[in-house]
Amino acid sequence: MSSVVPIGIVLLLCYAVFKRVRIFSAFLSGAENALPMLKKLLPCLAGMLSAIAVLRDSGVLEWMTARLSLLLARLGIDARLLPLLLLRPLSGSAAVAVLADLFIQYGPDSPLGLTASVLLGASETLFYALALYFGSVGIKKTRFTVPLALLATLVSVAAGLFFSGLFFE
Amino acid sequence: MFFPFFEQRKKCILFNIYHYNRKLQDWNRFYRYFQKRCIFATFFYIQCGMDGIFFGLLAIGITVELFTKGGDAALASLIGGAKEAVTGCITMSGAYLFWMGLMGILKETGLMHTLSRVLRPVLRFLFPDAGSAGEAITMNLSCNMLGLGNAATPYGLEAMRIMEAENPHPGVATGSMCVLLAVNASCLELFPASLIALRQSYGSVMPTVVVLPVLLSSACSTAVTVLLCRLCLRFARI
Repeated sequence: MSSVVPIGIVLLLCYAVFKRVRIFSAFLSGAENALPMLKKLLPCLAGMLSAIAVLRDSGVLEWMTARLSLLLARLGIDARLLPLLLLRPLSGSAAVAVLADLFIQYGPDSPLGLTASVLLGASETLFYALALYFGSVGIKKTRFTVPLALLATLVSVAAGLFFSGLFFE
Repeated sequence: MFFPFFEQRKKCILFNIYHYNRKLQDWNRFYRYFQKRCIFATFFYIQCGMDGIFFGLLAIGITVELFTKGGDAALASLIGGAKEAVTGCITMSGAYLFWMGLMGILKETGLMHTLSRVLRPVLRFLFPDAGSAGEAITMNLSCNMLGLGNAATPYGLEAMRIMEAENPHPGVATGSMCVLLAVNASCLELFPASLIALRQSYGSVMPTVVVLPVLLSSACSTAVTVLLCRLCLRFARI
């Protein structure tokens, strides 16, 4: 199972050579596309991670987690996932910062780290996409989009929790 | 707008038709007022949201830390957080650049276009009134499925532009636009490249183990969203 991705890479390279693609220049142009995202990510990550580090070091997060864990345990959600869930629809970079913080604290392969990764992968920055897509063409009447997209986020979170519970426990 | 009451309005012949109409008109006016301000306000709301969150987190965190550990510790943790951000970003960018390079090779081989062709019947089912935006929509979905969120956005914007140009009611979202946005919101990813890069950079020994759960959960949410979209398209009137 773990060698699927490297085997896939080798197959892809062989297929590309077969199709007479210029592999290295294609690789370079593809990697260039990663730079704008990193340029946007780094400042946001710096700001959010600083704020979260201060919260963590001062003990506020532990206090809130202890308070909310009773309530959320009934729903089956770990209280430490709450910042991630709340920030995800608002800003993808902030959610990545929360995930990075969770990785630092608990390790990326702990059950919490795995669950948080699944949650991040299954959802999407909702309001940014809405504003971008509809605002760019000047649509003012969105009909049922906003409730539907919120419901989609909820369902993806629920499905993410369910499947990560299934796989990682 | 999801509004099944129009049918009931036709059927109802009792004296509270007028009363019901009156309630309907108020609700419509309220909803239209809210919607007119929705899109342009969303950017500002996001901005205010992020400003508010940042302010709240920093203010509360620094104040509490001043009381519990003192000013030196507060500054140290602030700078330490920024340092973590930079180290995390740099290590992540190595892996991310590699995966994006591979995706560049994938694009050049034309596998993306094959994926688009495979998706075309699905497209006709999901986006009935898409018209000539079909190709842009398939490219958007393929990019999302391969984890290239940033490459998907220009295609999505292009698709919206084409659909708006062919829109019989300009300024009102067509059903296909809503479905496109909802499918983007529950993003179905076959290979979440940035997520795997992030996990690798923080020392995960099995970064790709999350791929299958992510795929399953996003597939679930996409299926539910698509079902709800079909229901809404059937019952909604402008």
